[in-house]
Amino acid sequence: MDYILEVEKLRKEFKNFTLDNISFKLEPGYIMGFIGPNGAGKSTTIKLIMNLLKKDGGSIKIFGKDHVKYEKEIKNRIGFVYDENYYYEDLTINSMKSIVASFYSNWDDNQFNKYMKEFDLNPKAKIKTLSKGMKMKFSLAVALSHNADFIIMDEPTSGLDPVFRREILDILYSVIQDERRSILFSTHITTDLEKIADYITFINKGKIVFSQSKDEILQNYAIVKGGLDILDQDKRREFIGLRETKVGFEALTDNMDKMRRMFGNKVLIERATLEDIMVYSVRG
Amino acid sequence: MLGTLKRDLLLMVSSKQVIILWLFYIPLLIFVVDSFVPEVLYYMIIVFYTYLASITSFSYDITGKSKYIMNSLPISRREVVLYRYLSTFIYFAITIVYAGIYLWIINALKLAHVDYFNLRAIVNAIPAVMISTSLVYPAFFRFEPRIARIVHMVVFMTFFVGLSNISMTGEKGILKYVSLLKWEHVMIIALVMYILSLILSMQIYKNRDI
Amino acid sequence: MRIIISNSSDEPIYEQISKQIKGAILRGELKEGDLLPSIRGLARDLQISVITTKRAYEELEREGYIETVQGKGSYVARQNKELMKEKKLNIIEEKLAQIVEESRALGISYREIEEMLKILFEEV
Repeated sequence: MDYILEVEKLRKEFKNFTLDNISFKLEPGYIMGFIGPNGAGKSTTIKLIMNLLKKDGGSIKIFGKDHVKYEKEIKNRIGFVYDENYYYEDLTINSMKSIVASFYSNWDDNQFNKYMKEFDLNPKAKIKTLSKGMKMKFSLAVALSHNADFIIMDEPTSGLDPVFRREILDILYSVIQDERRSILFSTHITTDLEKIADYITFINKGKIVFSQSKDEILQNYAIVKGGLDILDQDKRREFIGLRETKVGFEALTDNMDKMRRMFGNKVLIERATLEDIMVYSVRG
Repeated sequence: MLGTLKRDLLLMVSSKQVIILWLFYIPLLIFVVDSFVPEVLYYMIIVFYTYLASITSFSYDITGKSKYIMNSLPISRREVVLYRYLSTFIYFAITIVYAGIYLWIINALKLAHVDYFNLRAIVNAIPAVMISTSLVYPAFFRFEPRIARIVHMVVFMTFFVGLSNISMTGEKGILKYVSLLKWEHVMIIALVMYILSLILSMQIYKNRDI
Repeated sequence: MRIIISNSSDEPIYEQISKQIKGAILRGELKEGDLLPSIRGLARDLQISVITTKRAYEELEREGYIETVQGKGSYVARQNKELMKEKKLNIIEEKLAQIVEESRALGISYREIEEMLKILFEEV
């Protein structure tokens, strides 16, 4: 299998929003971060991948197979974690687990119990009594207890404190030690991805801005800071995003070398963080 | 599919709303449908309980965000629909057992004179259940829960009022009604409707955004 | 084995890693046949991307410092003693070239540099 996930020219039309020409690929053994501002289309894309929404165009292949034609077979190997708890509030963890477990042919109860212990969760607790963080941990335990080869996470860490988020990252690192598995992780908290992601796909207003290896992105993108006197119309066009104040300007570029050649010593050039890239790309 | 059944049953016993429904609906029916031929009362209990159990669990399924979880599990859209249509019969069996016990107790305690098991009523109940659910299920697959519930209410009221009126005309009326329509014919109609409804639902649900 | 990376340095992380491993090999801390951490294990320990560690190891392999056996891992390659000496000298030469350039730019003479070196070698 060349790719665990292949999305090609995906398209979905809504009344007020269109997801268009979405293409990206993910190989086994890697983590892809899926970033973008709220409303950009991250959740929509994930729902399309999971066939919760019906696509209007394009193709999606998972494990090399069409995601609708082989839906059941594919979903058997996918572990999913969504934002917010969508599990039944009145049921206990155990009840919910036994329901979910009966759907998967490779359910591993030992693995699940291990996670229950590790996450300090009470299997007899009713889901409505769990905090947001605990619900998320439960979702993760379920997703990781049926030998899934592909983990899809939609905003799993929003609303969770940094300590927690680090714990989740540790777990994801463990998962990816197996080079046959991959993780797709959508979030608008880019600091999480700065460490762990191998690839980053950035989506904005329903379109892919870029999909590349994180190292490449962080190498090429930079923040250029300088005085207003060196700016002119031509130079302004070179930037992806620009912020001008009374005391100078700050801009985003995707070509650090070009900036060095263009401005030389007159500017300060710093590494851009994923957050910088996202903010400047969106704001312009 | 057994997973989905497990879910529905677990949800039923965990939801206070549903438990209350199950506990009090029988006495309610007995009270409302007073001076009835016991067989007719039994018939109505079986039909309405099965219908309500089916629709309630369906409603639960579609309302709220848990549908995202259920549809992300390894299950095809077809199976989701098929399960729904098969579950009707499971609720039917459950109702017969549950109502049997409940009514037997009522009888034993001499609270009212009721039938707790009537084969003829059961046999007649099958087409009624199939026809009513076959009308409502596609609505739940096609529309938002709010709108689907309206369809459910309309069907429910029509059946309830319709059957009550027919029963109200007394014993003679019932027997007349029953002999007019041969069970075999009604059953065939019910079966055809049910299967057509199943096919329609599968088609609807296959192309639907969850 | 010790690998410490700096997130704030200008030097790309993969380069920091390969440099440190090179240094360890040249200093003899890592000997021929020693097993290196797996690229995934290293990525996890350093909390970085696996692509980064992969790149570092690929560079080390290209330059002959390590060998990767499919399914087993990466080992310190047999280092030709002559070659090692040469590599060490190259590193020093590069650094010295930088110093010479800086001295010229700042107007420092050879004599002054010679003096400085003498003092520094005596200190250490």
